[in-house]
Amino acid sequence: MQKVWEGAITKIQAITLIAIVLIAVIAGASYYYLTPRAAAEDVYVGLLAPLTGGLAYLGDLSVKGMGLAVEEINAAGGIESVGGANISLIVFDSGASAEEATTALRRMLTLHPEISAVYQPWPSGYVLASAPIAESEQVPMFCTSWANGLTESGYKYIFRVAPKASDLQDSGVRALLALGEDRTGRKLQRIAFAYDDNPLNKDLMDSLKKVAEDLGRDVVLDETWKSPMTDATPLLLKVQAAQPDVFFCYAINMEDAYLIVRKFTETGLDKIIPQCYYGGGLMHPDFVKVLGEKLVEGKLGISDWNVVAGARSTEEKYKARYGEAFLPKDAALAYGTGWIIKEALEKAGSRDAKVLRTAMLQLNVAEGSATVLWGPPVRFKPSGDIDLGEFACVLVQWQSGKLNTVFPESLATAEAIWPTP
Amino acid sequence: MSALVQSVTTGLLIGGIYAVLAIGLDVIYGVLDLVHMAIGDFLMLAMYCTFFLYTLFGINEFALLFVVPLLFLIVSFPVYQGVFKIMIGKPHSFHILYTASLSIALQNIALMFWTSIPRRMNVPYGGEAIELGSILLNKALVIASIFALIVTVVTFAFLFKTDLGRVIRAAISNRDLIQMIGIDPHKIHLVAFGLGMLLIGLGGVLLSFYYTVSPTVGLTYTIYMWVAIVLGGPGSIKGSIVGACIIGVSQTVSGLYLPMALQNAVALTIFIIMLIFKPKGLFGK
Repeated sequence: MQKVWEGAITKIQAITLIAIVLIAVIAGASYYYLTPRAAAEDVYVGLLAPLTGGLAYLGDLSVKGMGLAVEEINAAGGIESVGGANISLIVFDSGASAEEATTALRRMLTLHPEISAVYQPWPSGYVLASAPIAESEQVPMFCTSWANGLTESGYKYIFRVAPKASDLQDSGVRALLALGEDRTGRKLQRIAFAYDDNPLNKDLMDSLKKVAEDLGRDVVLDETWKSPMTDATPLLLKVQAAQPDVFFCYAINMEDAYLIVRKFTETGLDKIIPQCYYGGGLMHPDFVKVLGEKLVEGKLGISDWNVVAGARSTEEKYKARYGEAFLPKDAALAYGTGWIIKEALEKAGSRDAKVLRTAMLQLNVAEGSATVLWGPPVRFKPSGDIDLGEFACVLVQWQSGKLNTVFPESLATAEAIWPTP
Repeated sequence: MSALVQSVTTGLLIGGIYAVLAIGLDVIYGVLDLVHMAIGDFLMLAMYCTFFLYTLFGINEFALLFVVPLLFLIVSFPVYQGVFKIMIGKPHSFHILYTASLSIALQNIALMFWTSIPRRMNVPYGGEAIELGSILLNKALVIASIFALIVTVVTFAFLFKTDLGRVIRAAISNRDLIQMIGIDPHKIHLVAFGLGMLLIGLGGVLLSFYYTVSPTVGLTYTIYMWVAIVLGGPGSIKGSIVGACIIGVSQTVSGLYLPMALQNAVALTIFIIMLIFKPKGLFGK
């Protein structure tokens, strides 16, 4: 064994390595101790989102959205009922796996025990793994994941600022089928669904089957793939063989979405089978940049939110602050959650996490920025789900390079164009 | 039947591009005895290089087939001297740790500068298909695969018909032989590393015709490349090509008959079976 290591590294190399490690340790320690800390009287809110790995492009939107809300709240005088305390946002990277996310949450709560609430929007696998930690630490955790289990497992500290999969799918599929049948004049009997390995997707598939059964429709394809996908040819051939009237597809990874959309377009299948996608990559401003206007044209999507008339002023603020083309839903949901936490803190009159949790259940916000996303009132059910009323889902569509809301009609910013004859 | 033909053809086209990459890795591994786990990350850099030169400078995609490999060839010399030379002659376990760390560092640097948003070289025919009887093939993929075939043939001719190529092959077969016949091993290492990097640069441009690039794509390609050369037999150029085609075809055909979740599992299962029953690969000696 000794011989293997002999000559493997010279003394100079060993000294260089030790020097590098020492410099890194000193730099890290200096950074920790010299970084200005938020004032002690601040209220701490944690934000845990993927900032590295393949989903970092979406995590960045959460930081921007929540950051804008915190800037506005602090500029307007902070939390009045907590002595005008400012909110101090503590951002941690949830990494590229559920294990990394749970470690990050533990580290966040250990290093900052004074945190009043945490926002961990998604991915579902990460949030499902982190939920027991937030619960045992008794810190309210806000999320936008659609996974049913988050609010059906008896958790008291998990709050969802979005619809759950079963509600979203029920409303979304019904709305989409109604739209298609209205435009084509024929019944859309055969439904195909393909999705990546996100744990949320089982909930979506089960819900889709239930809606199909209720409506007397046939689910003709139930296909999943391991993301990232290598090539979409097998999927295309399976969809083609299943001959569906409409194809639902969940691809959170933008590279997967690109392969699928392109494959459908190049073979002309997009002119025969209408496609409906879900959140993730589809809702990102860069979706159109990566795929090009021609490829995304007409693509429909089921989403929990998109810009509606009432949120135009917020969108303008966001565009001005970050120079983006529009307000993507992940940034909007983070912004809305920031304001909901502010309202809950006002009601609690305390930065104590347990008091905040009680205040959340009594919340009933009738005006202000917290109501910008869905309109008033903003309140939560005992399960932890936000009460969305009629806003269980929106249908969106890319039209001439813009992501428009096309359903419900009361919120629509453009008329839906059915993508096939 | 046409679905099978379509899947096999697409798999062969993809495999053809993998072959260029696998030959590049095989030359580096064969001559330098370097277990290079960051090879996919250099490929990622080649794809970003392609994207930026195409998008920001408007350089034609076919011109990039010369520009990017040339750039990679030029930088290969300082990269070899500064980064890889230190590992030559060390145990393989050192190579793996060293290059895996390098891989993580390159990914993080790419993430810092270019974010995780996927980028793609938006060639005008990227979403068009070529119709061959009952099958439809992506035009960009077909074009990239034709160039991949040309590159493979030229590389083959170089390795089998030129003196320098023969020396490289001799070095792959028997590293000690080179020193015995009076050739400076350092020079042959430089040439082999340069050729490997040139092929990785070319492969990066070819992949960019069809695929997007993001900071984390490298690992997947590193695995494909290693699986291809182990399947074919390390040190066998012919084996690398066959191994690459097996991966491409198994990915597309298995997805057709099995759940798509097993798309990559089939290629890796073949790899494991090969390791058990024929550890030297199909063409290994």
